Amino acid sequence: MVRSEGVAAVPRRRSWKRFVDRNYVLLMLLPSLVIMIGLFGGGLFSAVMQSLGYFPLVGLTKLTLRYYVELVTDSGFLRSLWFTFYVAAASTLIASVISTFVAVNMKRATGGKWRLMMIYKLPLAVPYMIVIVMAIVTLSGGGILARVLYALRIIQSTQDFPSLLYTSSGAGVIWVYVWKFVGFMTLSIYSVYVGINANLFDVARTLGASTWRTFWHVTFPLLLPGIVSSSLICFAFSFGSFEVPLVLGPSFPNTLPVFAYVDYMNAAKYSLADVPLPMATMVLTSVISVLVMLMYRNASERLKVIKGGR
Amino acid sequence: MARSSSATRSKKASFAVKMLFVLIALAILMPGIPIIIYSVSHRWLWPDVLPSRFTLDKWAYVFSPVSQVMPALVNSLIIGLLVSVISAIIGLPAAKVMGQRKFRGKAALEMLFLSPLIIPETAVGLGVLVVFIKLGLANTMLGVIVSHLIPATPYMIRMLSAVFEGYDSNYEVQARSLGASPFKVFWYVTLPIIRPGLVAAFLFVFLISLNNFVYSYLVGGGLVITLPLVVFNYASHGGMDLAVASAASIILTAPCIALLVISERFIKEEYLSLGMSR
Repeated sequence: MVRSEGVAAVPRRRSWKRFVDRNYVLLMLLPSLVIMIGLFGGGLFSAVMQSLGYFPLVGLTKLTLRYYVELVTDSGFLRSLWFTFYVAAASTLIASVISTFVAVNMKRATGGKWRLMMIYKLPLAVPYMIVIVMAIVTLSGGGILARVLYALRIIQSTQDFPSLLYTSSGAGVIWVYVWKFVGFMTLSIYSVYVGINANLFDVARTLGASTWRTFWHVTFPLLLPGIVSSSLICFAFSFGSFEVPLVLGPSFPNTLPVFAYVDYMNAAKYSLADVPLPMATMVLTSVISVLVMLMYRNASERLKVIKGGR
Repeated sequence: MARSSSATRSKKASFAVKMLFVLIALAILMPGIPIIIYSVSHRWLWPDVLPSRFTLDKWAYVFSPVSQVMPALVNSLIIGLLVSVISAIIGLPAAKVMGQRKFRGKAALEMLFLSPLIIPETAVGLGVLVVFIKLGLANTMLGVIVSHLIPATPYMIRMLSAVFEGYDSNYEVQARSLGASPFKVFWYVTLPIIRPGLVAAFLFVFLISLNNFVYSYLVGGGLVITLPLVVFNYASHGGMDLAVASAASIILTAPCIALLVISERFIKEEYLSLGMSR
């Protein structure tokens, strides 16, 4: 069949084949690179360019750092930055303590039954928007928690119930993150925990160490890289998450993504020349997230060393 | 003496641990209950712990053509299906080389494929939005589908490259040496071997698209309504709209929990934690 195509076709086929062989890796990666560099990278690039004042639609073409200077001297931005840090740190810290406790005691407390263990993984499967609805029906002034407390005569009216949603304490937002993170962190810490050589616990016990001492001196140091790397993922995630603080956060100061979104909508409605400001906010938020990701990489490399040394 | 006291102490400690486990389990399970009650409540006035009357009206409303929920469900299914198919086609070849080959720049690529999980969606979404407005993709379903590829593709690649890492490419070499064309090798050799992993990746990417809020919200501009957006709309109104939000929440959650149960039995855990972390 091939031969009937004629002599000239053979070398051309060969050179095409050689081209494919030589660039095999690149060709296989090409479609995904179009998405990752074209779409994802392009989206980021567009945000960066706009934050630097390049917005030809309204005649802005000169690159400037003006908007960044404006931001870091703006008290609204700084208060939102602080609120974002506070919410991310608080939810990550609370979730990491609960998750470490659950992961370490999982086998003993559940007897290894997968149906019971699954309860602690359930948060992984529930979408954020649903957890937001759960927070509203549970924690709001008219929510189920307030009703139960009223029925038990612990509170006398809705006024006695502390407002947990839409407040600057960020309680509702933190609750949603903790609820979700416990599923993810428990699973990651548990997978490190089951990898620890069980002989180490026996050795510690025969040497007379108490449960508590064994935890602090044997278990915890071995779990630490796993705790740190999953904490960093959660921290970076809550730092950049949008819908939870959009629905449950206070109107001001809210987290940076919401701050940027409100700015952007105002700019789109009233003055397009202000679009660079929310873009600069999101670029700064991304820079912080990238720094956290680099820390994650360090932590997970250390984790690999520990797992490999097992 | 000392031994027996330490034994009771450890018994007490393990009792405390079990109690804490029960408490944590309750904190995880309980908040879902009012959602179920709300969806079948007629009116639920303060301070009733349970509604005075139950009804299936809200469910009838949710499934009726006048509510936004059904069109949103259809949109979500179409978008999720197309995003999964497209990202699988794009991700398969990349995953194959990422899983099987060593080449220069691989570590950097791994970082690139990790970054959409870390860089805030709002940053990329706002940046993309301006370009999409220019291209006429803003406020369209096509635009939402394209934007969902940003989180979907790298996830597909990460999952499938794990599949290819444990895969013996000698079968392909043998098929090739027996004269099969590259397409035939893929169809009859590669695909059957990776099918379980591919199905898992497909399902998880479908869920990622189904649950995505930021890209749907920003790029869809309120004109392309998906399930999370409809829940968002009803939930932010409060009052009895919460009942509709609750019913829609159950529709959105059911497939996710089903997948958790399935994956618990059949799929490796690390896929789960990777996929669900966002």
